[in-house]
Amino acid sequence: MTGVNVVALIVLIVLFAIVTVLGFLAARWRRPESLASLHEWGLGGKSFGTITSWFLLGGDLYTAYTFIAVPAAMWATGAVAGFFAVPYTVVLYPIIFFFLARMWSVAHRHGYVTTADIVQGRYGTKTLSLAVAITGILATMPYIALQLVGIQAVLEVTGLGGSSVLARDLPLLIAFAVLAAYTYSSGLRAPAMIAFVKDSLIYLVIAVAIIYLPLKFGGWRGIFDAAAAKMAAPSAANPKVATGVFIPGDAAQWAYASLALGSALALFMYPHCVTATLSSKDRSTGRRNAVILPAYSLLLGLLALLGYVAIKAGTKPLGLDGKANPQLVIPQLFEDHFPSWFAGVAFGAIAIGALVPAAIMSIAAANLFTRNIYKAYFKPNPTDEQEARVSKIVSLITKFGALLFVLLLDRQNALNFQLLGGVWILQTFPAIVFGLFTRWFHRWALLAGWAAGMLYGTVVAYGFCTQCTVRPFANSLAIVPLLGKAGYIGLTALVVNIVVTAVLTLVLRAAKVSNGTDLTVQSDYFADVDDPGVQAVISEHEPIR
Amino acid sequence: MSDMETTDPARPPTDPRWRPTPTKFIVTAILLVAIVVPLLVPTYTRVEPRVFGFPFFYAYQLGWVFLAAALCGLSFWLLRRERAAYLRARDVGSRADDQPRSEQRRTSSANDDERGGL
Repeated sequence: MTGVNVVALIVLIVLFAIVTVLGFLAARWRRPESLASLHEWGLGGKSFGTITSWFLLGGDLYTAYTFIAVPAAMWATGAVAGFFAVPYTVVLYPIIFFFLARMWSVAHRHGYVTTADIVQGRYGTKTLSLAVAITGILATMPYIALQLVGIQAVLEVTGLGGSSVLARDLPLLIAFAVLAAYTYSSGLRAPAMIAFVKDSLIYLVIAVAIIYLPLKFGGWRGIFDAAAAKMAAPSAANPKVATGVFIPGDAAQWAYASLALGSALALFMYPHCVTATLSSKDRSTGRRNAVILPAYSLLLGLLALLGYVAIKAGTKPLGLDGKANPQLVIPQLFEDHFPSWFAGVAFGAIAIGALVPAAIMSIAAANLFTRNIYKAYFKPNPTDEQEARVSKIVSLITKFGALLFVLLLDRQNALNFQLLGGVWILQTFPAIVFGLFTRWFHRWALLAGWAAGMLYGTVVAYGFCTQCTVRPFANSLAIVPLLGKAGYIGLTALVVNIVVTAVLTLVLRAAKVSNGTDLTVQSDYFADVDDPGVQAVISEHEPIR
Repeated sequence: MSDMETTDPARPPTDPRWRPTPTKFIVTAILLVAIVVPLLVPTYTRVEPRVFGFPFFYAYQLGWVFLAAALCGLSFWLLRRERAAYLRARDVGSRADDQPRSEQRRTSSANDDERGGL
């Protein structure tokens, strides 16, 4: 692959331009009096119905990183690293069915915008709420960075890049600038509108790829056989070990299940997923979407299998520097086997697929900062405009920070920090979700549990290496202490977290230490949009009540 | 504080949203199945029988995508049915006394049979 694939690039640019225009026009959608207030900017103002939420959540949950990294993992090391994404999304929806509606209800009764607000209302503590806020912001930043990595992968395959810093980084800078601009002006409406376009394109591209490519390469049986052969062959890095896993053996089974379960528990703790949830118009929207969002899971499963198709096709994902880069597998597969214009459509879909979540993530992180750090500790009574301005600036800073991260650090570091972010965000699960059901757990116990989980997870993630390439934070798996088998570090840390929380709760309750004031009553967790006291649109200017 | 569910018009039933009910128990069981069974990895780590050329390991998990969605759909439907039944029973009894107990606040909105409740 030499030179620039002009046709693909042009199609990509056109699609990007269309979406940019939409992003700016979005400010007019369901037009409010002013986008200067945070609830208009940060939550989309008037709330979103089931279909819009489906597109928005889908755009949120299925990101460019997902579409690039999952098949790349399948191609490189097989089922455990890649296909766990399918059982992850299978168990995700029953899990969120339990608590999303409660989250919506209590948030709309008390004016909560973020998960840190929920914690503060339930336990009357700013400290635990600050812990949740900081974790949320820290975990979101590498995730944004990885969306930009997704755009980079696509651009690299079209041939943009090479030794000139300008050629390599300029397109990314332009994409970033555009994203920053319309997010600044339109807030959450922008990604909501763009999500329609993005998801439609993704569906189209994947549907075509899934039907056309296997036929081209002789059917699924041959594809699976080729994958099995590759995974069984000795690894290039270490000939004593197999390349990967085709079907998990005994040793890998808990790793597989724990990756799925841990990721499912963690996902809706991310600020951007909570933002999308709270912006829907009634408490049941989340549940209706739990029924129809699995359409995306099917897509994800088939997309993962495209990683195997690439094995059969003999795709060689070489970067412009000549080195192998698994992240390029899917773009390269498309470029090799589709006409250029369709490859351009596919690349456009992926690039846009990076913009939607990057926008929402930066907005959500900004909300967290504004409400739970700026207002809580610096300026308790800002005006509507001040608040919106702080959020807009923070959103810009998070995107800019992510951009620097991608430009300056090597890609493997970005991937590793995302893994660590996943371990971290999972530790906020007890503080947020247990409180939606019961006040039995003590707030200081929850804080200690969170700290224990964070510490354990970070230390273990730092140290473990399977093939010992001496790179910290490189692996999401580690031996589980009492089990003796490899498991997802995040889930093990969560168990440590819960045990510490439970034990300390018993101690603190026995010692009659105060558990703070609870702003909520039981019926709050079931209130729906027509019930008294429920705000259809959460007003962010007001503190929680 | 929990009330026996009754269709006696003189004693309106309590809202099933904020107390344990048989329906909620069933829904919880259904959802737990949907969470636990797909994670029982040893039950599906095999290649045969193949489905459309897909090894069982892969086909089974893709199949669960549909099944989990269906189970969520079933749960949603069961909860809505319970709420609709409650609203019908409440409206029958509302001719008589319909004062709520403790902190429960009732709505008399005509739109509320569109919502499920758990």
